[in-house]
Amino acid sequence: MPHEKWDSIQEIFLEAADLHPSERAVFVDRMCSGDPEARMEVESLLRADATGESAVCAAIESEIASMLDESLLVGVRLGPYQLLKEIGRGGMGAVYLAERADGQFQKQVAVKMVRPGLDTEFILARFRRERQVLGRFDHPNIGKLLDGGTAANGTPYIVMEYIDGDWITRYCKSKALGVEERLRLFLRVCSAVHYAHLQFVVHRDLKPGNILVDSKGEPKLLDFGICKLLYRDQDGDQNNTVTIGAGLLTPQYACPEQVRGEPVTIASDVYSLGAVCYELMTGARPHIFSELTPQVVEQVVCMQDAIAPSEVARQDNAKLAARLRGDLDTIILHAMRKEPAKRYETVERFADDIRKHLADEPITARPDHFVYRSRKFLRRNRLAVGVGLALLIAFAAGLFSNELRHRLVPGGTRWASLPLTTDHQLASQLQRVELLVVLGDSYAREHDWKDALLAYQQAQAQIPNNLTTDDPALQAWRDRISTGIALAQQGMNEKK
Amino acid sequence: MSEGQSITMLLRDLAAGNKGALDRLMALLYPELQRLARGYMRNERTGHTLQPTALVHEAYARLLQQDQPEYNSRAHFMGVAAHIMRQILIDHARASNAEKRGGKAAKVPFDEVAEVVAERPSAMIAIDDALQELARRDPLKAQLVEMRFFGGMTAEDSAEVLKIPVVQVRRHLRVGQAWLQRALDGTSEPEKKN
Repeated sequence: MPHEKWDSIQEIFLEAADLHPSERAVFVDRMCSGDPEARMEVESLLRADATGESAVCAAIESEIASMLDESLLVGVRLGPYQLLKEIGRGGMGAVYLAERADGQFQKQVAVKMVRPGLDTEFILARFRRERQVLGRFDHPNIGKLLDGGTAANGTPYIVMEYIDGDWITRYCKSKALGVEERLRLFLRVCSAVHYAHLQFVVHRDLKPGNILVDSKGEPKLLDFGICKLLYRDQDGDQNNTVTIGAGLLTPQYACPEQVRGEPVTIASDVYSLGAVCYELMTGARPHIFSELTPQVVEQVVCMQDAIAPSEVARQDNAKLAARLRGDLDTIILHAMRKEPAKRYETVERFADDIRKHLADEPITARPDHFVYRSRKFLRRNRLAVGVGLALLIAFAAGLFSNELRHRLVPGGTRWASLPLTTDHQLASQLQRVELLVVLGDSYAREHDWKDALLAYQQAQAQIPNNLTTDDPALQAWRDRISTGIALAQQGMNEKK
Repeated sequence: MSEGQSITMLLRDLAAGNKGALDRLMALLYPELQRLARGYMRNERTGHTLQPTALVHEAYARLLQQDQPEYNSRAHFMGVAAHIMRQILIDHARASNAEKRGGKAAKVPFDEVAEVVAERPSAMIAIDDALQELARRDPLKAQLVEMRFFGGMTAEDSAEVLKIPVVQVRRHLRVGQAWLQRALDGTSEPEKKN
């Protein structure tokens, strides 16, 4: 912009800024007539002038605060731990490498400081409750939670096993591991997640950055249950929900219910593991976001189907594409289904399918829209395919649901006496009911009535309306849920 | 010669128009201010937000308390200190930004950048970029804005250092502040990635 023009823009701006707001528009119109560029400049300066300087001050102050936070903490002692250096920083706060200063152990640990500004009271209360469960965790692929407390200034911190390793994705890349080796590594990750699920702990933030592979080639999961410690969910705080969805969670691995701020269950971890597996197989993330705004993230995660892994690989690796096509496409996309109820019911089932694939056995998952795709296939190949193949496909589909029914509803389980109309979806729905009730019970035991109520209500919603059977087993579950709901409501009232 | 005395002399040289004095002054003040900034919080941090102004005043009080230089030198000190404060903060912002990208920016594949951006874009970097652009267009305004935000200097202080009428300083500041604020509003929109 020429000097004279900048000068005149300033003059107009300064004069307009001193006018009464109601007179400005007319004045700017008159002074900038015929020069839309100058007019835009003046108007945007006026708008900025009206907002004051708070944003600038806030940015400077927060930078100072962050600088001082770091320098404050390195060298500081928290309980028996001496902080050595900052090793990471994320939405939740900074992570430091530390060692015990009391000489008891030589062991190095990771200390996670909770970012100032998060709800300290809430975190501490939750931490006290969760540490019982998390502290008991003992699995070779889960980084141990060791300790926790509050620094002198009131900031909560969490002490975890220190793992010197690389992200699982980077590890596989640097070692140039093949598909099978990657899957075997991934299976160990699944076993860790399943272990936690059996104790009713959902990770909620599974991503390569939380899955490190140490020098011995052992994958280690970090931050189990930490996400739950730090954030409330479903407390009606919209802002909070949006922040988690778009900012703090990594949108590439977050499932639809998570970005929508809905309750998170083991199905969410199944989805995130699916996304991690997707990346391990293809080197690409399942979703691409044009912008990282809550709206775009929600739209993409909830509405767009991920491209099949084999299609991603096809572009530059035909051999890999052929390896992924079929089973692995199906398995990964099944884990990543938009509707939680349509994913693998548990991580174990996800892992089972991978094991089956590795053993060349038939997998249990079917491709999405199986019938639709077969129809499309038939249409594409109308001339070449005869009636025989159409029948074969139909037969395969029928056979499948029979086989699955027997697998999912074996004789002797609690659902065994259900009528034989039970199909695949129903079976998985009922399993879900069972899981949710057990989850509700575990919350109830901890007197977490709100979460308990939520679990029971979800369980209730999972029982299909059209299931009119008066099977005693089903009735027993219905009664059980009603009792649970009543109990939880009573608990909530007493708390008030 | 004590540190305070040498700073006083350099300030006097600077006021007399000796450009070399500025570099030496900055080399002397940068570590001092940084040390002070870090030490300051160790003792006095209890919840209140800290402004760079407080740091600069603190630095002045500690470094020059014995020498009690004249107003002219004090204003000069503030101006230089403001510039250094900005430098310290932007150095920190850029370093932690690089660290977030794994400390080895070149090695991080492009697709991981989006994740990093989502975590915490540094508004400080945006401020610095905007100030640099303003300096290219209108260096005086950039300097005044810097003095205001990073040194907590009043229009009178700046007028004294730069030898221009206070009324003019106020006008420049109003434009400069609006300019900076506007640039910052622009960056508060999410960046386009991928």
